[in-house]
Amino acid sequence: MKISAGRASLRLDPRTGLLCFLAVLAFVVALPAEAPLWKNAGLLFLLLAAGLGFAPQLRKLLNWLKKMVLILIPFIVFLLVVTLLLSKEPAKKVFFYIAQVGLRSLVVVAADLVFILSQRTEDLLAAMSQAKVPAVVIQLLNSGLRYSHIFTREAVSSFRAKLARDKCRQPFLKRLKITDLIIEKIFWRAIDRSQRIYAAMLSRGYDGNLYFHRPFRLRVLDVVALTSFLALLLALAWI
Amino acid sequence: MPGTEIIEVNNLSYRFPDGTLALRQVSLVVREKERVAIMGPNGAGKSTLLLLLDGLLVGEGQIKILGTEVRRRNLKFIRSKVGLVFQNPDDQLFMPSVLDDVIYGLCARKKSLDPEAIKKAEAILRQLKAETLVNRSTMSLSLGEKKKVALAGVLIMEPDVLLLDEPTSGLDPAARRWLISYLSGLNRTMIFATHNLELAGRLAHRIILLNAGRVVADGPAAEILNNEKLLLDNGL
Repeated sequence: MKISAGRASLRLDPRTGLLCFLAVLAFVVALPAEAPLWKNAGLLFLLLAAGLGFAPQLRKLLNWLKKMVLILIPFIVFLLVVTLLLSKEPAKKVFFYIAQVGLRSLVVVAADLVFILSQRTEDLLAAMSQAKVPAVVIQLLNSGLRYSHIFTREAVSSFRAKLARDKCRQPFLKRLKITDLIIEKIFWRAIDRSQRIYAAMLSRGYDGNLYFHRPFRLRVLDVVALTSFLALLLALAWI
Repeated sequence: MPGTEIIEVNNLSYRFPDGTLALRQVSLVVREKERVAIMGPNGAGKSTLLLLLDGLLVGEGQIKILGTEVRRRNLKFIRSKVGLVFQNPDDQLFMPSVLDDVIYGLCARKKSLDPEAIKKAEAILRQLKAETLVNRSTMSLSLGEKKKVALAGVLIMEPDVLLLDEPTSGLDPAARRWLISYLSGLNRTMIFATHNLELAGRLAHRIILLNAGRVVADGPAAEILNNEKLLLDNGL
């Protein structure tokens, strides 16, 4: 039986992906507010190019990016309006800062898509465990992912059941009330479910630790990708 | 039937937090290598009894597993001897990959990632005809596959007593037949809660019939399954 980390040949080692993501976060946070916009735009371009090479489902990732941009736009517009109204800075400077925030948010989203979401969840958690990330963080992420998976399925089936029983279009308030009842039901189920999951964990000797077996091996590709990416980030920050 | 008493339950009662009495004065003995089916209608207290036997609920009365009383201070020992497979595998599988989930119990016992556990996991998954699942995510499995992985995660710990809650529920007929024949080949003490008369008939040496938290019948499987009135009166 072959036990593998389940990586596509061009997919980065999850530890490399985590390090690259952290490097991008550090870059975005550490870059001065007055830094030229092209630096973040360049990084965004670089990330999308990297996505072409390392993330096998780039089309899926780009779709995600589009959705995230749609969420980001109202946020940026809100920021812009509030800042224009309340800030004493000239409008040109306000636009510049808002563009900084927008670009940096996009860079973080793109880095997340390329380095984190392109990995298998189990590989990422195992990589975090190997990288000695505190057990409580890994447990929270693991439970969060498990619960979100289970409750998404429950929510979908509850709303499907509602649709199957809807003979005609209900008035808005009634629909709102039914939705509220479904959400309440899912909430109570969540509590019941979490108790059962915890009982099952205890019955198998859960001691507060999670153990992962993933035979990760850093390949030349990972080392080259990591060093060149870090070099590029440093160069962007330096110029 | 061999004679050593493995499980001894005396006057066990359990009340849910809302006040409903789930089990009333239940007493029973299970002997080594015995396969006992706990049967009864919905709400009879079957699953509650299994949770109490694994020390996951605390009731009134006494439970002894291999001579050790099920108490908070003995839980580590009890859980090393008793393996519980839950009805819904989604409640049981909590690690992200199949291999990590199967080896969890052994690693938790040894408090480290044990290379032996991986070999054992491979062997058990092969026995369960689930070796192809080893690298899969536990979230992307079918119900039958999840049931196999949940069972593997318990069997790897080599428990003396295997508790199974509705082991065949939700399985298609072929998977059900396969599971019954697999379980009947396991040479260990087994208690399973079920509604399934076929499962009880093929697997159990003995049936304990529960209704409204009380033991209404306890006897050889063939005898109870042939008593149609008894089964009908108790929602089976």
